[in-house]
Amino acid sequence: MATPEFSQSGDVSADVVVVGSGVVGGMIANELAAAGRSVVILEAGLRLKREAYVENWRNMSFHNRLHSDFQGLYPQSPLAQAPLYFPPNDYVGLSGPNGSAFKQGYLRTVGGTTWHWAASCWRHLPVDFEMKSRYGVGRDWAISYNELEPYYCRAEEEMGVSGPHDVSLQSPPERSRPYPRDMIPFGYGDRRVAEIVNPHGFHLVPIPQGRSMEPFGDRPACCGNNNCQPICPIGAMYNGIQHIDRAEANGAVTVAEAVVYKMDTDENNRITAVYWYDAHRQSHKATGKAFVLACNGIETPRLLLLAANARNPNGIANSSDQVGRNMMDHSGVHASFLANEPLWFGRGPAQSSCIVGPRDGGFRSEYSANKMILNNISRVAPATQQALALGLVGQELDDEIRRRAACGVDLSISLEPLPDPNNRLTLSKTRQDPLGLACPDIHYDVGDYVRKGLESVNEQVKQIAGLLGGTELRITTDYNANNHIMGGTIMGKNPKDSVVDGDCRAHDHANLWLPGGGAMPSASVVNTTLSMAALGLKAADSIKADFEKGRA
Amino acid sequence: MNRNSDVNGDRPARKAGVSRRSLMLGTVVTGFSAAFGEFGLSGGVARAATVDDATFLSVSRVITGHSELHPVIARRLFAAMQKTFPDYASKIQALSGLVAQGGTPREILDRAGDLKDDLLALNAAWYTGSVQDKTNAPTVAYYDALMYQPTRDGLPVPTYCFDRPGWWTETPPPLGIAVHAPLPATPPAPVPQGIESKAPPQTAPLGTIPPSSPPHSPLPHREL
Amino acid sequence: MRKSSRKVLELAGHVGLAAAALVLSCTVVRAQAPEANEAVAQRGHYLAVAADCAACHTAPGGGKPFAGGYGIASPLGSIYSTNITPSKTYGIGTYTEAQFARALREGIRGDGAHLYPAMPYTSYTKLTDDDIHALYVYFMHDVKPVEAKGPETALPFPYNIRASMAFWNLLFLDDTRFKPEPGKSAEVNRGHYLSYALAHCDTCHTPRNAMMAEIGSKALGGASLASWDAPNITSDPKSGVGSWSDDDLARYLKTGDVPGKAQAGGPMAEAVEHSFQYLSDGDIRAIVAYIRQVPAISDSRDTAPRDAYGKASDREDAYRGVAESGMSRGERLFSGECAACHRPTGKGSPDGYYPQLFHNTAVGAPIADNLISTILMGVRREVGGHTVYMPGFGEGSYVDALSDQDIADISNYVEQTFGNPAVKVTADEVKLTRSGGPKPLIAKLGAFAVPGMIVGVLVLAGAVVLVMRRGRKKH
Repeated sequence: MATPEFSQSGDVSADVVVVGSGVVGGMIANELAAAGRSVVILEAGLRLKREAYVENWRNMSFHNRLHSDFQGLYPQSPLAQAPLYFPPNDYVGLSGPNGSAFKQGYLRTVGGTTWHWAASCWRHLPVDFEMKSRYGVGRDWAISYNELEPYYCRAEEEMGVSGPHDVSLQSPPERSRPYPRDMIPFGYGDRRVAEIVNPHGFHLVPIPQGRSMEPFGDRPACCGNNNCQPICPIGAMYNGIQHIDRAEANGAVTVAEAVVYKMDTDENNRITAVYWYDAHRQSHKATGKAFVLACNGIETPRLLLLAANARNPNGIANSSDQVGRNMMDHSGVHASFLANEPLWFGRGPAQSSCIVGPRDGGFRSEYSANKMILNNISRVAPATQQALALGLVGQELDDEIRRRAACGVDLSISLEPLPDPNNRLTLSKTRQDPLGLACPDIHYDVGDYVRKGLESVNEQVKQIAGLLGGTELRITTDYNANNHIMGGTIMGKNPKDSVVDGDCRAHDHANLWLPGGGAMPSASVVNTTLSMAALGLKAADSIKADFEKGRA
Repeated sequence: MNRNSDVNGDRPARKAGVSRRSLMLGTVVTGFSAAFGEFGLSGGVARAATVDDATFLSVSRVITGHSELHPVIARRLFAAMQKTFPDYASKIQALSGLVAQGGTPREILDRAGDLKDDLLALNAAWYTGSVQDKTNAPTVAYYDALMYQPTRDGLPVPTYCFDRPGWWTETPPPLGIAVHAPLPATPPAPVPQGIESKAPPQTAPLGTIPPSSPPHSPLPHREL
Repeated sequence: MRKSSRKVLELAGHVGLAAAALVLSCTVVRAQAPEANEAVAQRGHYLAVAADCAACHTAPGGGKPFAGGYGIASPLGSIYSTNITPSKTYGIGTYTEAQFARALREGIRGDGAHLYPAMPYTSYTKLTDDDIHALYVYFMHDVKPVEAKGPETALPFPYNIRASMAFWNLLFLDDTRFKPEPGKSAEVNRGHYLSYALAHCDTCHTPRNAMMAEIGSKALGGASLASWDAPNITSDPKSGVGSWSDDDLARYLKTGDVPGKAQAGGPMAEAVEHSFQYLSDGDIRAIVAYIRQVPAISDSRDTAPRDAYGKASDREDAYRGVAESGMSRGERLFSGECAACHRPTGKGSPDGYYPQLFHNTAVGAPIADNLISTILMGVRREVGGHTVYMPGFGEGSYVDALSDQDIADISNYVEQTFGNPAVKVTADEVKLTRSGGPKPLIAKLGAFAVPGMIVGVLVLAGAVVLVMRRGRKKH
């Protein structure tokens, strides 16, 4: 078992230096450590126990919980900020027509943002890899679905995904191996809505999820306590910390509170070292043979820009000027209504079923696809807020809470922005973090493709609400963020207009990999984590091959 | 599964109305066990001599209609409310006078006059477990916040298990009340899930497309 | 980490009692094909389940039935269970019924070498000839031969001298068949036979002397295993299970779970999983009937039954919203680590799937071993095709890896709130349990003390032989 070597001054040397300890960094670290390479993981944020997050959430104000303050329960390192909204800390400066749609909630903490995901493990559709050649919009990936498919399988097996064994419920059905576990069974609401809307072409399917009905390895069965977001209290859901733990068992070492800010390159433009500030603002150096930046879709491009050096004056990996451009997210809206019968959402895990009928079609040459999650987060909190606002008391209040909680429906709808170089992350000229490093600024416009897609969404929502006898149908009029940050280190075959290749290796640096959401050239409409993990495993294979062939 | 308000089993079900006798009993509950925490001790918070924890509890029981309110939460909530709202003890004093004539929560609210907002604020605090619906407002209750009582037979208090894995596949309890009820006003838009410190803008209530419409069918693939 | 303490115990004390190598004559006899009698084989299968052979001889996690290879951890090294399929090369395919019987009853292999008492032959020796025959037919006829050699057990010297067991056997092996007790009902006698000759309850639940032999006068009075505690299961109403109903005892054996009272963890969960859940209702009732009339062994320190302690808690009303600094560590950790399933009230889930903590035998026990072990190692019990699983909080736990002090703090909070307030847990106790529990004397002494022990054992053995001979002469 190989382990990194630390010097007395706190510098470190390892075969592989991984920056970022989320699902992607953790999986890569584990793959390489298991293959006998020494691995050091540098994480900007803190390392705390699950218990702290659980208790912080329960202790939060009703208002914060009602408005989904999924960031506030995760204590931040004072030197490594991440977005906060209660109140806003303006760490990320937003501008542009839809700047407010990019209020991302990502964590800088050991284990990463999957601490507060809901464990949806979707694959892109095969056609999503060929948007340009099939629909004439966006970009094609440098790899095909078939090339990534084996890694999708591996990622599902690593994360313990439960998904439908019934092919007619799979989206997409093109699979070489079955899901490790069969689907999480539908609750009453899912069954009832499927019965009503499916005859009209909406195709409600189970969401593939990183949790299971019987124990999976050392993870317990899901007990449906409905708190996947912002923290699974019992460890039934996959979190990235699972792969950090595994990597460490294989010899990797994680350094928390290590804010990487600088990178060295040699005459061949290979990376030779990265530098980090520790909790006492002391700088240290990590040397290695292979380097991985897996810091999430905002922090990775930010770091590449921060680390500009004499040989790479526009930023590391940025000879194409594409670093930080093409920023995407599943900019979405919410629709809510009261059904004319109790559906009892809020029983079981927070995500359960999803309408994927409008996920693909010829219309995508003109406007965005969408998917609509039947949100299964308990409606008790919004029901209470509404019932209290009506001035009710006593039995009438209790009845109104019950009625609204049982009949309330919330659709979380994702759309699909196209990669647009003008949607761009830059370094702020006015705001710096406590270490004096520039904060990120993001200019964002969802684009007409999405705006036109929303018109279609509105019609579909009205039809779904009509089928369920809905009243009080409302749709949000501002786009909301979904924390599926993509595009900032975009993948492509041509080094002139893209940042990484099909292995997520930087075109400019033979020993630098930038796997994760940033590499994704098309958004599709589905949550990105599984694709990110698959890209991470593919990158890990290419790093392993480099070591085996003596190229590292 | 039948509707059974005790399925989560930790509190007795609501008692309809409050008798004068239980009100009297409430006012003599004193000497709560010592506790700790920001809203656990009365030190540093000035109180009117005439308003004690027992009064706060008995007023709370009457205006919420929940006779099972817990004295420990009451003591901590009272301290938190006093810290947040100036001269809060006198408001409780006034509410105490209002509830003395008895009646259902609705009857009391109807004759509350100027005290209406205070009554609703106190009621809301018991339901939400927080002193206000405001960012980072002090919180004293979660599991036993009243908001979770009306659905305790069908929905978990999030973070706490409900029953064995897969319990959610069973038929939920009957609603037990009318699906539609006359509302006193148009309710505000519900807060959608998503990280926003305030509710994002939403449309006014929209009309829906009637179910007789033809099935939705996305355009077929356009093969190139 | 999931090691069977039961199996560890069975061998831990025994293997070290090496004295001198014995040259044992070894008679090789060709095995005769047993009669292919399906009814007899079926009975043999049932007996193999009741005797829980698979617990050791089938490697967990998909091992082939009875192919062995399961490394049973011991303080002296791993003891590997053997292939007991009818493979002629690697298993027991060449055994005659007499050789088979000798292995079960005397712990002597077909080649004449001694087995380590990880194999509970001190219990199986009570088996009737009929049952030995049925087992033999089953193993030879219904078990599929597996042509694979398992790992060899290789304990360090002097524990590798298997013949040392001859002395221990001389002292402690009562090589006689089960005899029904006159005056007891047929059901009680059946239960007695099942409990001793097959299920070997006494192996764990009867305390042992310094030579690791069971103390007959304290039968089923409770004993400490490595990390776990096998409680007193005599009929005493406070120290034992005298206050349990027949239905509760039967349900416990069948499922490992009596909601609101007791859940099987550790080695008992294995016994339920592999064995008890498959026994007929009649045999379960017989075991219950037998257990109920086992003479009470009472500990005056037990002032109430284990399942009579504690009550529901309303502490969440006092601590919600309070800063971490304002709470006791135990309470904070209980709330964050335990309450999601067991609820802040300690009531567990209404259907009993997540156990209630008060009136719970593990929490109300006079010692906290089972509480600590449960927190450290969790519980896993597959019954009726479903796995009941509580994750552990030990090293490498995915939920949260807790420190010794964390677990001590949680244990003390749980004992104070839901259990026996007299029980106090220290971080050192947790540390000991984490490391596998107290080591038996022979492991503590180590190899240097072995020569002394050999002398001691020889002297003792000589004395006992002398006494026995004198005893015989008197008759």
